[in-house]
Amino acid sequence: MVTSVPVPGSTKREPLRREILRRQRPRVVGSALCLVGHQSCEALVPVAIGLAIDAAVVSGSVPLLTLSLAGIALLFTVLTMCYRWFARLAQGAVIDESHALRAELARKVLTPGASRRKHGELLVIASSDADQSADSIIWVSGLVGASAALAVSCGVLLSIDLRLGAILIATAVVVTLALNALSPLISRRVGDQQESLAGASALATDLMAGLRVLHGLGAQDNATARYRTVSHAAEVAGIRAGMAKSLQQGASVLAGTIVLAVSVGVAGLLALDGAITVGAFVAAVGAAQFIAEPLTAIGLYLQVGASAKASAGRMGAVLAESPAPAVEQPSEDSRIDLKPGEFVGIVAEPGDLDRVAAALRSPDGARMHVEPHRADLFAGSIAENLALGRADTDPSDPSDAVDAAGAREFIDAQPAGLDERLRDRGLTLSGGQRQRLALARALHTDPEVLVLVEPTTAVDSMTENLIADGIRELRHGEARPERTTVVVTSSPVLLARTDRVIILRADDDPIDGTHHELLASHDSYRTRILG
Amino acid sequence: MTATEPQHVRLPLATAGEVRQALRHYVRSHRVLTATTIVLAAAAALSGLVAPWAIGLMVDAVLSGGERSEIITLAAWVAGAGALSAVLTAVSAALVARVGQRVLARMREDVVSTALRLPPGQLEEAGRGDLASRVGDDVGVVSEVIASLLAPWVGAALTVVLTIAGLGALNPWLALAGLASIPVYVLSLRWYLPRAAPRYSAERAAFGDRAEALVSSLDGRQTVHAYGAEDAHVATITAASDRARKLSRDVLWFATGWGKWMNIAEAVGLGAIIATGFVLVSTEAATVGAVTAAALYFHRLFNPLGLIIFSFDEMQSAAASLQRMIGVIEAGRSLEAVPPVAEKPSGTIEGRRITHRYGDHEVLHEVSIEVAPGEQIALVGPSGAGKSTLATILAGLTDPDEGAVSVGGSPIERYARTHPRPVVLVSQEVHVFAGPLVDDVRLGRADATDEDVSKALTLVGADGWVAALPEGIHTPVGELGHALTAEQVAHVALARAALADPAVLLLDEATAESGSRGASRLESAAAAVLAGRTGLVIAHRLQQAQHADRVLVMADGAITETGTHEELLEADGVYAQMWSAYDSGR
Repeated sequence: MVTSVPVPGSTKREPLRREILRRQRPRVVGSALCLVGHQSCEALVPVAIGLAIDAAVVSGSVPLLTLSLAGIALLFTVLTMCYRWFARLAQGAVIDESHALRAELARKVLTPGASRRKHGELLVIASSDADQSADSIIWVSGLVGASAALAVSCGVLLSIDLRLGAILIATAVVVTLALNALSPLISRRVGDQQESLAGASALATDLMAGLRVLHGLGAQDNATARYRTVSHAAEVAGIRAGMAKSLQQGASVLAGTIVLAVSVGVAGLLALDGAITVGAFVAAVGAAQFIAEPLTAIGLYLQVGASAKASAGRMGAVLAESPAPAVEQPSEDSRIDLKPGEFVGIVAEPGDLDRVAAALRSPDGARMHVEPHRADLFAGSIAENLALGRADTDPSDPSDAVDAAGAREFIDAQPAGLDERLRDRGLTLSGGQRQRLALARALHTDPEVLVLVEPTTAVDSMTENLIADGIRELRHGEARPERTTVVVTSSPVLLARTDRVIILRADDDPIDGTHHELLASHDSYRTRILG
Repeated sequence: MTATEPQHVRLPLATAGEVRQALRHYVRSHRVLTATTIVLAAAAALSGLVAPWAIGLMVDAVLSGGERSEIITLAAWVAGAGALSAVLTAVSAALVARVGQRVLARMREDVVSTALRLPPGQLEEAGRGDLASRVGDDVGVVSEVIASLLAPWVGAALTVVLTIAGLGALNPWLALAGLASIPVYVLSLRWYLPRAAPRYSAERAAFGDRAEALVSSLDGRQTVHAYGAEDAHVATITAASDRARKLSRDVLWFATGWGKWMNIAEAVGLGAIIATGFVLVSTEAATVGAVTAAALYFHRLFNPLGLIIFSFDEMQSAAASLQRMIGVIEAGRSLEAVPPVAEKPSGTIEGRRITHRYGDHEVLHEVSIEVAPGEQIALVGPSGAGKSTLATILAGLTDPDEGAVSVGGSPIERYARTHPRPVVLVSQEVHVFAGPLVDDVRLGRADATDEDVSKALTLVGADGWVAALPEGIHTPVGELGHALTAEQVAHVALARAALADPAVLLLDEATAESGSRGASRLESAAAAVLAGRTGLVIAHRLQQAQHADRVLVMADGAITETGTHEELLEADGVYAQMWSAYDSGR
């Protein structure tokens, strides 16, 4: 068996994050502009409150009150429209982009010879990494928007009073940076918590999957004790994460307090001296408090960017993988030449199956189909599953294959018969039922050369008998004299139906003969097949 | 359980009342801590009200030309109250997390322990999936909400209530003006929630379908390649992903369209306060400072109100999950507490006139069976004859609709909570538990030492491959662990049974999946575990029946033939036919 490791991709492809941003450029720009608008409006809300108090409440002028209220209405209208379109453009682009990435990834990994990564890892990449890579869009437009809001707040403060502005901006920046210093602690603790929680969930699911085993052994209390240990660890981690977050909550209240106390003190004194109006005082206090928001948002968007980068890295690595080299051809002397129309049994070690499939030579380039031993079924009806190897335009009836595979009885027992839809990849069926469906699918494909690997390990002896007769009749009866069938098996029932049996040996030449000849002449064959 | 009760109950959903009662029950054990938490959180929110009030006073001081010392004193009040609020916020949030996590942990442990004790025979297949999603997904949803939302929610809710109270203390008219926003919030939320729920659940279902399409194609890659069906599968995945994409866009458009109502509510409240303040100041019923304070109070509500409104969905889905979790606990209330039995019964096992149905379909009809201590029985017959059902009933895992099972002369129900069980069933369903191999095997007997486990593995002939594992018996196996072959998995199942050392051992097609060569090796492993106890083997390969003391042939829910292998061959019935079909390969 040749081992092939995925070759790291060539660097021809541009980094995925940049590619996403280039593809979505119009929406990235549009959403960034909308967020600038929204954040600026948010920054202006306290200013509007101050203006309204200054202009209307202090003066007592009705037209000014009307104007103030109209101004507030306008401000909130712009604010809400900007937010709506920021969300629609940015999030919409994320949704479209993650879909496109997922589709591209699916095509890539389903190509023969592609990635040998485990399917669990690929599933994570196709699900959460696709979403997070696309979050690069939010990263850029969010950073632009938050920076603009920061600029607006600073502009407001500086325009009220230069000294005041300078003091407040300095205070806000120092305090927010100090606050952000807590976030690594929090992400670490939250990470621990999520991990322990995921562990508890995984254990619970695992125990439920093995419920019958636990009941059979009466091991419920034992299992509960195991779960309690994990649950307790999750509890401790949860409390630790909760303490880190409460520390942050308290610290952000404290940070807000420092900015507020400095702003009310300084602005209050300025107002008392008549350097600024009451409205300007309210606006300054409000704007100083608001500064913390874009500063925190910048920290948040930087985190989004970091995880988008990591995800895009993983995703990009799979997309850039080159196909693995093909399996090495076996040397010419270990090849097995098949004759048209014969039914061959092959007895091999369980680990040798790949070698067997590679050694087989079909007569005159006839189409060969190797049905994997593992009975993988897919979503869809039973009929759709059976037609997997048929062209879409081919409406032929799978009845003969179903009968030959001994699957007739249980398919008829399904409420919708052949049209019954399979749930959960057919895992709700028993192992024997899945195996028979996979066999029926292979038989219905009707290739010139069909290779079956231990096709009857999960069925009872009587059914196995019927299947062995069914295969013989369907593929080697009068209707199809030219079909070639190979069974790799050690089942005496199947081997007895074959024309000849080949015993593959690790370090010796293969032995060839009929089942009955080999039973009589080879003791090792006899013990191996009959126990 | 009487015959009139339904056999396959669906898990119940707890009512809102039951959820409240259960929560009270769990919180009660942390009564003092909970009360302290609430008092501290309220105090934190109260001290947060000092700042806007002080700013209002400052506006009045500026307008009336007050002293510099007045400004400095008020700024000091803002600083002091804020610092106090910061400390109280931190402490109370930490306490909320502590109470929440403790209650949650006890609750999820009760859910899992009840789920494990529910009689398996009463759960239909769909019920098992439901149970798994309740202990997995639902517990996950509730845990996530408690970890990320509980403390902010408690803080936000108290801030909203106390800020409105503070507004009221400042001036009742200004409070009333601010409350003008509440109907907007309530009405829009009432419009939104029933319309949002189906959209979100359609989106979640589409995500589920997408994951299913991905899993089935990735997991079955080998088959996809064998059939050259790559394009069809890429198309299926793309279609599923595209459906999810469209639904996500629909949800996005819907939610962002509705989001304007939050801003409208804010604008309405703020405008009302300024207009009311205008009137109050003109009539000298309030100072400019009071109006300023009111407007700032209201501005402070934007964030907590937004938090509450925007997390309403999550809180609702957590509440639904909570109903499903408590439902499991409620389902377990009717379980009788059977005390464990210390002494081991003799190996006699007897089933009397057992009849059992699945829905309308009778799978067993008045089956009687008696097995003497040490006797080895083989049960054969075609699929669907009722062999597996008979085995789970004899093992005491399913209560038969009619009839009774006794072991060592006493009813099997007596041993419901006894570990290790006197009757062990190694079922058709194989499962390797995630974690070290030694812990998996130890499920057979909780107090077994590492040596006991090694001995059991040696007995079934697994010592060779176990020694070759990277960390021996401590190697992680199961999901994410070292992958075991079908034969190795069967070894583990037999080793667990050996460790449990039961008086009666039932084997249900335990050797079915591993290929003929492995099968004969596993048959000797099974024989080693069966030696010295009463055994009943559902024989897959007729070879197993050949050496049994007695063979029982089942068909259509009844035992049709009984005798030794030779006797049955002589009788020339169904068994003889099966044997000749089987033997034709020889």
